[in-house]
Amino acid sequence: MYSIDEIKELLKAVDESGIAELEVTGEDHSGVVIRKESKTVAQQAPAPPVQVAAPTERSQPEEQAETPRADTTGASTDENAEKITSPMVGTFYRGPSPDADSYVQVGDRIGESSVVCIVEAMKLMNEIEAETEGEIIEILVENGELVDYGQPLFLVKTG
Amino acid sequence: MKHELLRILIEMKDTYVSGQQLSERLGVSRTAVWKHMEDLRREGYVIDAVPRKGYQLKERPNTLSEAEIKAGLPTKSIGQTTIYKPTVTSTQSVAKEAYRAGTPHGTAVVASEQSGGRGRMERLWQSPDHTSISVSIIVKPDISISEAPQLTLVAAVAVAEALAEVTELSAQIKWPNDIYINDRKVAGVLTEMQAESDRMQMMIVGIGLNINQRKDHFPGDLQEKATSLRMESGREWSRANILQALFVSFEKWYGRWLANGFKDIRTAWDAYALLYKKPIKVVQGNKSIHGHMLGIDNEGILQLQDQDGEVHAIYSGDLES
Repeated sequence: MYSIDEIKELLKAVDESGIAELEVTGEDHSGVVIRKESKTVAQQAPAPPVQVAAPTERSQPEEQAETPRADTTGASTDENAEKITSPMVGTFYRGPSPDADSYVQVGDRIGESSVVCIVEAMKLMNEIEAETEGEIIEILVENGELVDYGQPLFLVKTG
Repeated sequence: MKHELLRILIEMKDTYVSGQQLSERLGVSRTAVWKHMEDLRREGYVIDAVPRKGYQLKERPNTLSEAEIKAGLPTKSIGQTTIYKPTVTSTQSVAKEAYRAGTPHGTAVVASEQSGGRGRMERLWQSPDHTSISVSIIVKPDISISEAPQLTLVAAVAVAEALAEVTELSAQIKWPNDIYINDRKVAGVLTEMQAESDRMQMMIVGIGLNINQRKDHFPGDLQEKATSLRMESGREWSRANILQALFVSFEKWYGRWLANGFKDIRTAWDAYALLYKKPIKVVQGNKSIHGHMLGIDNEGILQLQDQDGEVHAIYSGDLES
């Protein structure tokens, strides 16, 4: 039999490994099964150099109704989709003026310094740059909507 | 060169300055001095010339120029580099280009006329020739992005104070950025910024001021909403003087904001606030919230109390009475 401490060590070892499941049976070890949930596998995998893509749970419950969640599209999307988030609280505008074209549409290719939207607070117009490269796969906020600090605005498929 | 000559004449306008002195200070011949002097006269400057005494500036046309704006300007940085363009599409765009070309903190881009002036979201700002000022000031504050919107309010306080000081008219601020005299709009502020990740690189404060317009300078739908210093005071004002007062006041309030945070600004802002403690409506796109204006908080965010007593923090929207 494993002691509690030994089991903890095993859990840790499994966590840090790439394997999804560890099963120990027979003799004195008497049947320990450690199984990782698939989502946990993705999250616990060695941290990518850029952490922007880390899923933020905060503002998602309200959005769920209207917009399909990024997470539901599966692990493969998560690996190379990044979120462009709002650096401040304010109103989200897709274009420089009500009559002007939107800065970007779904399907557009963007570079790091592409302006993707404006977030306005107290008549400060903050042109948000993508700071990532790739293709816009989803716009998560409606024009004129109030956004929070850190709220995801766009989903970008990188690479 | 012509600008340098004008600057000397403005600075020494209480005395005569000899042709010899001028040619030494400017490092050009006396003939060249004379040629530039003629240029200035053609632009409307009245320059007195007395044998053996020299030259004295008697009258200045109400035009703007780099020399007019900078002569005797007592600021450390704001306006010390000035880019003057009679007509531009937008001083904000010129300021952005100047920033990219490495212009220093405090640079001001000034225009007499804007063909594509931007109010909020590119609404056209009325700017007929020689009656208004459009100015964009470039600053490079070391602040976080979340503090950045406060600069709009800092600038609004600076504008209200400068206008009140020069004209003795009482100016008020409509949250967050419009300056009113007798319930009509006389000036507006719009701020833009550039940051990389969370580090602020620069901010541009755009200010539009109505100075010498008559009522018929404004299109019909604006005649009841807009005003100018001339319409309120019954006299014309030197745009260079107003601009200098604005630079001085902006430098003061901007400095206080960086040194002490928003606290000082809040007190000054409240004193200028239009609709303070009054019933208001805030329009956000196609929604609006009704309530009582409580003032602004320590970050400049508007506090509105609705009928149920709930306090809303308003970051964005148009305030109406």
